[in-house]
Amino acid sequence: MTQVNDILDWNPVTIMALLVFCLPLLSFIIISISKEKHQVLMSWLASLTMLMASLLSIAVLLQAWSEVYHTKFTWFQWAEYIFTMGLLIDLPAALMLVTVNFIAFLVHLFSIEYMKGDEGYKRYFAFLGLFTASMIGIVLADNLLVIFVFWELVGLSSYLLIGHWFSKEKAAKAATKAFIVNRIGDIGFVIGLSIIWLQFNTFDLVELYSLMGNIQVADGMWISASGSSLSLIWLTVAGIALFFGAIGKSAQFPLQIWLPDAMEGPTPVSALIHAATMVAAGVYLVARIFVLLNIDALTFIAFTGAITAMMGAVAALTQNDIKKVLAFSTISQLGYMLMGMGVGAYDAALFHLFTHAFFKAGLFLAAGSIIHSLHLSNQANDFDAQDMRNMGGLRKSVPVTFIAYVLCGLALMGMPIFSGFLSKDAILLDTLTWANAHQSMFFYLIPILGFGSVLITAVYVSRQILLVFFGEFKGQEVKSIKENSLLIKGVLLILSIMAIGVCWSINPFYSEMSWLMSHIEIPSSAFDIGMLSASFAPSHLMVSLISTSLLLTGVVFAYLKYRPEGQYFRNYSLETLKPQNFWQSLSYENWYLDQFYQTVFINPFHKITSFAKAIDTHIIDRMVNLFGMGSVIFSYIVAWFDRAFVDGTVNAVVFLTGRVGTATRSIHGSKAQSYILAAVIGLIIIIFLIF
Amino acid sequence: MQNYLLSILIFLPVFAAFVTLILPKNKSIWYRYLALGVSTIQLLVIVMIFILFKPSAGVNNTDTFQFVEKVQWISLDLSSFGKISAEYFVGVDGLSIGMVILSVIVFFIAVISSWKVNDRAKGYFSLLLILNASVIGCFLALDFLLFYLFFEFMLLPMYFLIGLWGGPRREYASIKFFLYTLLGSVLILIVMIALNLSTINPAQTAVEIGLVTHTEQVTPEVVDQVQQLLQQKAIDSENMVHTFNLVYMTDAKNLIPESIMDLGLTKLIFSYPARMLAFLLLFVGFAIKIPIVPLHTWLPDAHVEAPTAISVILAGVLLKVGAYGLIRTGILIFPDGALNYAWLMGMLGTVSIIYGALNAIASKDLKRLIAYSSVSHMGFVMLGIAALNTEGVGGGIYQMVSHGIISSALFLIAGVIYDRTHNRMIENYSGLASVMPKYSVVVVIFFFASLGLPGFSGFIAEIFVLIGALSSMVLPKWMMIVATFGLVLSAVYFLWTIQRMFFGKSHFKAGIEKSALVDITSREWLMFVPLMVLTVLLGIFPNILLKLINESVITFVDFVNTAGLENLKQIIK
Repeated sequence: MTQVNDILDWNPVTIMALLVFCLPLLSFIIISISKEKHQVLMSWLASLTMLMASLLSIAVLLQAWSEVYHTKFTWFQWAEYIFTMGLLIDLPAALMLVTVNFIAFLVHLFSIEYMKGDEGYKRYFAFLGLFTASMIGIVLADNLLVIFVFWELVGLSSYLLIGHWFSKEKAAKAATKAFIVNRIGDIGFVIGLSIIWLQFNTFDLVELYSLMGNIQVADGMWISASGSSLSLIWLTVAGIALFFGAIGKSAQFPLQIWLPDAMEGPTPVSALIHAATMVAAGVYLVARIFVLLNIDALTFIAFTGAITAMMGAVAALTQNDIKKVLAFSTISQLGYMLMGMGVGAYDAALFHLFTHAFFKAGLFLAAGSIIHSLHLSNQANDFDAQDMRNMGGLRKSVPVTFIAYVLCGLALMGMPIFSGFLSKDAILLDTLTWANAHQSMFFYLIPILGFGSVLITAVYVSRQILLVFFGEFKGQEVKSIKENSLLIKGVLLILSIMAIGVCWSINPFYSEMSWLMSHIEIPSSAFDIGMLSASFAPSHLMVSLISTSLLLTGVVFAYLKYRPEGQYFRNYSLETLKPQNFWQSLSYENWYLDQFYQTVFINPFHKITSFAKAIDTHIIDRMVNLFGMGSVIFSYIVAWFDRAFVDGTVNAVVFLTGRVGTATRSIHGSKAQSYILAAVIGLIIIIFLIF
Repeated sequence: MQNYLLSILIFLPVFAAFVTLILPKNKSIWYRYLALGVSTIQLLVIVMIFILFKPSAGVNNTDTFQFVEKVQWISLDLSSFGKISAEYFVGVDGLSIGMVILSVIVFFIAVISSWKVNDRAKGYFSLLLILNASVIGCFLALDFLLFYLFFEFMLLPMYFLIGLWGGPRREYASIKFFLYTLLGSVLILIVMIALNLSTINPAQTAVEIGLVTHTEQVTPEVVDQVQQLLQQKAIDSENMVHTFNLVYMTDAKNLIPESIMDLGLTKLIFSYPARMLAFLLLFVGFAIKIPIVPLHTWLPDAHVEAPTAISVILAGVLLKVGAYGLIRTGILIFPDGALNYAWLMGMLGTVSIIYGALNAIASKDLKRLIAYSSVSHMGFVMLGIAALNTEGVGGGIYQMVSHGIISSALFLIAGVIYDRTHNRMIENYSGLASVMPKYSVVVVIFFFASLGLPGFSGFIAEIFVLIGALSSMVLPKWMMIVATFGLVLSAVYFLWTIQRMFFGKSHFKAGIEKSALVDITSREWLMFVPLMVLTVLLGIFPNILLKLINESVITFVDFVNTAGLENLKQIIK
């Protein structure tokens, strides 16, 4: 039963896309084999390749605007099954391609300045290339197995980049933690893959789309077109399992613990990987497999997203590390996107993914710019250039960074006329519609969490801007703090322009006018989620008004609490290490998740491994040794029996014979030589007889 | 010459071993070059075989084996009992070709790795050559007696190589290894004798009963005729030619009615059907070699004490002999037993994956950690084979090859550090990455390859084993779900090791001198680079191996499922 798998030929668009994939890979290979003395040249070359890739990907986007391109070829044949791989370029993929490449290009440029003089400079740029290529692989792949391949490679490059300063204990631990937590999510991915294989015998997304269109559900069974039937629960399990992979990669509850630690990596890496691209891969995966998700799986996704959005926002409230605030904010925003996916706001969630990618990269790079400036001004070992308690009043010394930070921050809050407003409101609107379609009040939890997070987001962003840029500088200054070079300023400028709403929609107050939202089509699923949206349409204006007023409340609250003249600001210094009350600790410690896992999983886990070792040495091996000893003792007993009884009998016979012999010897006299002769002749005769 | 390629593979090292023994003692450099020469010729031969090999089934059909050599070896007339025949019967099919290629490569690497052995080099290299011959013989033999001979013969050089050239507890480890494996061999021997008593060689029997005058005239029709006569009990027992031929043994029609392995008459031994018991005996016998928990405790000890090259061979090919033997004899001769006990094989495989990984995490010695990771990864082989579908069995075979390559490299990695400091304790090292950057790159590559990162061969193998386990008709679904945790655990022990030994600030305990930590030498690169290339090639272009094994895997799965079901019906009846 050889499977018929038509191969789809290359066309100019897919060839271009392939080139986009190959360019960063090439950069990785060339930098890896290049000599250390050429490293600066190489980094410029890498940036140039990324620029070319960005331009090419824009060309791809223009082509893919209204058409889907698909190319595939045989990868290998496994027994009777043919496995293909290829590129599937639809509008979300093309948009993602542009976003990834463009941000990667900016990050490359930024890094040239930021990583100057670092001992791992060459290694850093090589891994950036590897990461970008793997990420593009996820974006373009037309096949779940191939997506998983690049999914893992992205994990590897993230591990290598987080652990860039590997001699720092914390960085080494953070890298390990990130990879292992991601692997836990991958368990789900693998289980999901296997269920899909069991039911459909293919991983090809396009085939899956059409197969999912033809499945039937009868008597609680999930029947595919080929007649294979499984209990319906497996469909939900498959969806949730695949989503579990996204939970790991997109740092969602309960696996979000790795992302804050990942801030140990260089800041441009955080901007590229842990804000704009890799963590968004989870959301993108959900978009790619949208048709495989049934209503139960989607509800699960919505709740996970909403809970994470709230948890992340709360945790961001009290952090002191400038990057950790942003990390928790990323967790929260990714939660928004997945919440959007879960309620069927496919287009709005993707829209938020793209706007977020730009303004969050902007925020991270601005933070990087601050860190870089502070680091240059004070290189003492105990000076932590990431700690906001060492900052304050920076708007005067780094004005461009300040402007960039504020613009991107406003986008993050969701302020009207900024990009975040458009996408966030689109998601919130759909959560309301969705909650309303369900007959239970319980489902209103999701919009409530969503709107609540808007308020908290406004508070923590304002807090951070106030603490970092206003008032007076609090850290120790050795040299005066200076704004960074034109390169860094230019990158920040581009990203802050992208944070402005007009770039995304002609009418920056109305997301339906966005060029992006109006073009992305929601894939039709066998499980009609469209029916949910039809029943009730809340007024868009109302949603905007609610969210904007919540936002303004947050900003006002934050100003009153954290303004430079206030008590908090004055007391905010390295000495005030401890959070004041339980709620602050809860936020500061990220809901005590790390501690919870330590006691509930990791400590018992170490016990289990020691237990396994004990079983091995004390039970299994002991038994083997006892068995060995037992058989030795047994053989001693046998040997003794042999000596005492068997040999004894023989000896007795010999003894008796000897006696008899002695008694009779005298009769013959001693003719030893003739005895020997007789014996030899006898032996020869015997030998002849035998052979 | 093409007809004798396999014999060259087997007997060239035997010949070289004798030459080594004759060579004068003071020319120790000659032994190395001789061993290297043998391995190089073997490599050339295997490349020829690789090129000439046409994808074909083999498995249970003599005609589709390739490079077959078949010579009458032992022929005993036991008058009223009949005749016993054993043949020198070698050949390759998709099930064995991967193993043969792997063996040749691993032995080549092992010779390079042994380059610095000066202590009693004559004995060392002659034993290494004998080991080489017997391992390859094992993979090529299609006659049970021949297989058993090679299988047993591996023990001898292994025992001495560990016992004489090993570490401080070498005597304990080598005796443990020897006795454990010998126990397994005895179980296999029992089944082999029972099988010989119960199976006839239809071709030679046809000559005996006068259907044809010479075995070369035997056609499939004649074989059918003999088989029918046999089942009608129309052949006198003195005319029966009892065989060790593994291919004939797979055909239930060659079973003598009312013999001990016969399907129709269910002989009960300890209230178990004899065939089921025979399968279990073979399973246990080979499970020791694989090794499957709880029969694995010889492995960590043997590895920790063995010299690097011997560890490489042990992990790289010797463990595969167990899994291969189970496929070639246990499952193919007793497909009914395989179907019936698939759950047991799957369960023990799953237990090995998790238990091996847990023990690896708890290990403080780098080599012990790698040894336990072998237990864990061989568990994937067992689970895949137990799934009895093409995804699983193919994945199992792929994992055997992949693990052979990767684990060889892992033991070489442990060897590199042991060579320099004679200390393998993980806790004694920190921040090696800044002292030995090239070595660290190699370590990161192979650790990630071993934890199943895509782009390396282990990924393809493990993902297909898992997919196969879930879609298996004979395994419960929880096994696959439990087994996936092995993916996380392997990441835990490897990354934790990297974090402890290679990352952080560089400082060393237990009197390790920083000056002793020289980065990888060119001889060591010579070992690592081929392995690296192979694991990457097999990770990105799986077709290289798959096109050799696909046909056989399909035939194997098909045969086991249909014949197994038929046999089971008869047994239950």
